[in-house]
Amino acid sequence: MSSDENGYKFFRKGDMIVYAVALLFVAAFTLLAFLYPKEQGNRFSVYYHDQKIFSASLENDANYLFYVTETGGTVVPFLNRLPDTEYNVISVREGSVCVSEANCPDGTCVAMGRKTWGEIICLPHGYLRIVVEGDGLESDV
Amino acid sequence: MIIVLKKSLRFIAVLTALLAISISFFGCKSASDEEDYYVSFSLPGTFYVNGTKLSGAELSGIRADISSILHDTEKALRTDGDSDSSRIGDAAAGEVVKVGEDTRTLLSLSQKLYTETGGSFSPALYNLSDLWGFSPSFEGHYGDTRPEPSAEAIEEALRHSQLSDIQLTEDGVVKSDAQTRLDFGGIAKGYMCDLIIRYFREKYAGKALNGTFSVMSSGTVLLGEKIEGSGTRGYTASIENPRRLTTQVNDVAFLTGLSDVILSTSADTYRFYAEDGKIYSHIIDPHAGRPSDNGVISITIIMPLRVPYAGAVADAYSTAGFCMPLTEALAFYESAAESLGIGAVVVTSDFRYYVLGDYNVLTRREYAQLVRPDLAEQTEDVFTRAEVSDASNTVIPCAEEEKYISFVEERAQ
Repeated sequence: MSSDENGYKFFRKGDMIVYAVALLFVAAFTLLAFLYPKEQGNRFSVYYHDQKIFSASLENDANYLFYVTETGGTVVPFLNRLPDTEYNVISVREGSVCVSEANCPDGTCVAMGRKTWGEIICLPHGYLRIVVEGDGLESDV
Repeated sequence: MIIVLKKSLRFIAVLTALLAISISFFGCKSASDEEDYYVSFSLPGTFYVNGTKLSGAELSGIRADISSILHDTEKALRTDGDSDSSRIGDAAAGEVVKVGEDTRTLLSLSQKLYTETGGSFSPALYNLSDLWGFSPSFEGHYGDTRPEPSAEAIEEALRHSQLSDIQLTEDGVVKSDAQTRLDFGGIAKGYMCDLIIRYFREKYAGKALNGTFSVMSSGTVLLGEKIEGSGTRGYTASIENPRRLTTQVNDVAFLTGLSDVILSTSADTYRFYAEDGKIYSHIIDPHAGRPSDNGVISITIIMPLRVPYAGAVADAYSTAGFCMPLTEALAFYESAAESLGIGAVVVTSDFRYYVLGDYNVLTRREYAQLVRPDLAEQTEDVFTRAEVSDASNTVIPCAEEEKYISFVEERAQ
């Protein structure tokens, strides 16, 4: 514990406990808020450089391959053959989607795990976004 | 001096830590969740008065005003505590109970609606509600499986659930049966919508209002039209799929071109339990003393705001249709469509729905063709629109309905 010339301790043991508990609560509730999505999407869309290039249902299990071509990005069914260019393998299982494999330098998209709502982002691959959403039939109320 | 300063700093640091905990707990809590109030409301951030969007500060003020209105009304109408309803329930036969304006208005309206619906809507069903485990004292356990009450218990509760045993006099409310108790649950949310409409109309008298708000998500008011770009268009609304859990589809159908209406939905999904392949809904049939069982799983009423107490009437109408044979319910709504200009979408357990009144109701695919033509081909309809003339009082649940019931039954175990 630090103390000054008057012998006054700025941090006491009790303070540290309060800070630790506070940190624990904040971390726990922040995690809970992110781990438990409020909604369940039923489709996902793939955006490349903010352009929607693909959309599919989450109802059917499937693997898709996103890869960059000379003219832009494209998504095709994945046939276990990886391209020489930048790619992300998108896996749909039991109503959720994830990037199961990618050759991006940071691997953040793979680390983001499975989603039933929200989005997975791969910044190195042209700001690739995989957005889980409703069925597109939104109304005012 | 330095010690005092450091002590203050330490105090501030500890306070900050505690504040952080508080924010974690309550940071996302809406104003409507305060204390132990049950009724919540939502007022989206886009509300226009004479074509000008209200600022965040103005909306905050309005939200605070509405919260206060709703809390006062809830205090008067709730079934426990020192509310009017509670004091009426506790009163002896012949005792005069002085009540507030809200209770007086609602009781008077309820008596009118009771007659209009042939007794299918009644606010005197607290004893039955309690017997079946749907009164507020069972909160947190509404979905628990439980055996049916005995026929004798139902008959006894039914005897003490007659609206004719409650009279409204100039001095107050008088009961002729001491045991009868009120429960305004089937009309209160709609009435609260009416109070909010009145608030807006008084605050912005003579001005055009464009915006929406909801009370408890089952009553939604659409004021004016939707402002979009430099023009306006009718609002669109979805009829929520009461079987979303097992069909994975959000909507039964869509409404388009709506303006100055209230939408009120009653469904068997809000408070219910499943037992032996059957859904027991919180909506009690006043004739039988049992949860409604006419094959209806959801009713949405579209009520023009020009109808006096449009919200309360819509709320009561959406409940009443659960407590009539299906063909009678459809005939009732058809008649109200002619006299009041209402609309109704009645969904049944054979996954059909019936549309009454002169409103645009589109299937999911039709709506997709309108708003997202690229999705139209892959958009499926789970429910089928049926002709009113084809309706039968015997509704046989379809396989999808049985799947849903099994699912909720298993989930409760």
